[in-house]
Amino acid sequence: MEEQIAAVIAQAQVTNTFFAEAYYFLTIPLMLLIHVGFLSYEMGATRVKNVLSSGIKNLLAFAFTIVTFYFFGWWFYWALPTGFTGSEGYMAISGIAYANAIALPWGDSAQYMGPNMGDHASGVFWGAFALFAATTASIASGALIERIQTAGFVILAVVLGSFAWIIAAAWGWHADGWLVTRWGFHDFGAAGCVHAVAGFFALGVLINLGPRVGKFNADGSANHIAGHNMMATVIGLLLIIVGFFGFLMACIILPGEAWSWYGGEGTTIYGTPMTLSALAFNIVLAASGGIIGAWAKTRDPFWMMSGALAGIIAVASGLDIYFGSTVIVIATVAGAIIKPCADWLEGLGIDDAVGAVTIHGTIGIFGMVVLGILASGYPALGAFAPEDAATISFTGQLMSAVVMFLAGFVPGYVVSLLLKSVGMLRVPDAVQVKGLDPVKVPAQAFPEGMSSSESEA
Amino acid sequence: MGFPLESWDAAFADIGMFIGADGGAGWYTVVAVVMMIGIIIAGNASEQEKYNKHQ
Repeated sequence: MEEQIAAVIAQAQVTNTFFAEAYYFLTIPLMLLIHVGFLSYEMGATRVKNVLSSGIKNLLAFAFTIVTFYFFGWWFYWALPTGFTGSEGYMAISGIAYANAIALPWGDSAQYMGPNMGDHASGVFWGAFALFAATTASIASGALIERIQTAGFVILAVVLGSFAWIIAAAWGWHADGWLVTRWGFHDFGAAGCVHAVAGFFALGVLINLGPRVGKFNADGSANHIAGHNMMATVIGLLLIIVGFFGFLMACIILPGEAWSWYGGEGTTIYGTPMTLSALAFNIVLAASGGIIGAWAKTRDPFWMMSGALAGIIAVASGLDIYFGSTVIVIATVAGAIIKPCADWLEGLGIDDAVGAVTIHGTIGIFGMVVLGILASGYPALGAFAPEDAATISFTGQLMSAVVMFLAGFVPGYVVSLLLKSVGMLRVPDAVQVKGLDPVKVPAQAFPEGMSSSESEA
Repeated sequence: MGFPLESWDAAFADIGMFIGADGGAGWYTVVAVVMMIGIIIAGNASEQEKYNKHQ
C-alpha cells in the first residue's frame, strides 16, 4: 500500500513538473506578442519614409537583447540582489557565487544553460526573463524613432535590456533584493524595474539625441508629426496588452516544485500568496479603466490604447492584491493624465515620439507610489521571511521609485552621451529630411505611395 | 564535439547533455560573442558610409 501511494505521489510530481514547465514555456510566445505589438505600433507611428528603418531597429532590439541576456544578463539577476557587493542574501538564492554556479554559458554552470534532463526550470525561467528584457528595449525603442542610428541604438538596447533593467530587477524583483528586504518594496507586475526603468532610460537618451527635424519651431512651439498608419499603431497597442497576459502570468511562482515557495499555493516572486484569478479581475479592469480615462480626456484612439497600457502599468505593482474597483479608479486616473503629462514633457523640448516616457516612466512611478499609500503595512515577503523583514510602506515605495528612476535614467544618459561623442547616436539631419529608408534600407515599404486627408478635429 | 555521456541512461540526471557539455560550451560562447561584436562593428561601418554619402 505504501509503495502504491509513493508511486502515485511520484507520478503526480511528474505531472506537476511538466505542467509548470509547459506553463512558463507558453508565457514566452504570449510575451512575443508584446513585440509583435511594439513592431506594429512603432512602424505605424512612423512616417512612410522611415517605416522600415523603425521595423529593423525594433527587430534588432529584440534579437540583440535576447542574445546578450544569455551571455551575461541572466547572471546579473542572480549575482546582485543584495547590491554591488554580490554577497549571498537571506534566502540563499543570490550572490556572485550562486550566479556563477547557475547562470553563465560556460564552465560548470553551462549545464543549466542548455539541454539537461534533470532541469525543467532554468530554460523556461530564462526564456521568460529574456522576453522581459526584450520588452524593456522595445519600450525605449518607440520614443527614439526616425532619428537614432541603428548600431548605436542596438548598443543602447543591450545596455538597457541586459544590464540596467535586470540590475533593477535584482534589487526590487527578487526575494533577496535589497529594496525588498530593507524597504519592503512591492512591485508584482514590474511597474518599476521594467516600465519605469525603460521609460526613464528613454528620457536619458532623448536628452542627448534631440528631436526629429521639424518637430520644434524656432519659438519653441511643437509640431505634431503624424505616423503613417494609425490602425497599425492602435492594433499594435492592443497586441501589447494581449502579450501582457503572458508577461504577468510569468510573474507567478507555481507551487509544488523544488524551487517553489509553497507546496500547494501560487506566490509572487517575493513568495507572497496570490492567484491567477486576481490577475483575471485586475488586468482587464485596468485596461478598461485606462481606455475610459484617456477617452474622457482626449477622444483620440492613440491615447485611448495608450491609456489601456497606462492603466495596467499604474496598477502593475499591486495586481496581486488590489480590489477590482480600486483598480478601476487608479487606471482611469492614469488614462486621463497621460496626455497632459506627455504635453508637459513636450513643452520642455523633449520629442518622445510615442509617449513612452510618460506611459511607462511617469505612470510606472505613479503606480509604485500609489501602492505605497494603499498597501502600507502589507508584508513584503512570504511566511518564510525573517522576523525583521520590512513591510510595504509609502516611504519604501517612494524611495524605491527614485532608485528605479535612476537605474533607468543614468545609464541611458551616460551611454547615449558616449555614443554621441563618437558620432553613433543621431542620424544626420540631411538623411532625416530625405528619409532613413531610401538611404539605408534595401527595400521599399509602400511602392504605390499613399496619402490621407488631414483631420479637422 | 561528440556524445559527451556514457549512454542515454546517464542523461537522466542533473547534467548537461548538449553537444559540447564535456568542455566545449565556453568555446561556443566565445565564438558567438565574437560573431555578435563583429556584426555590430560591420553594421555600424556600413551605416556610417551610407550617411556620409548624404552629408
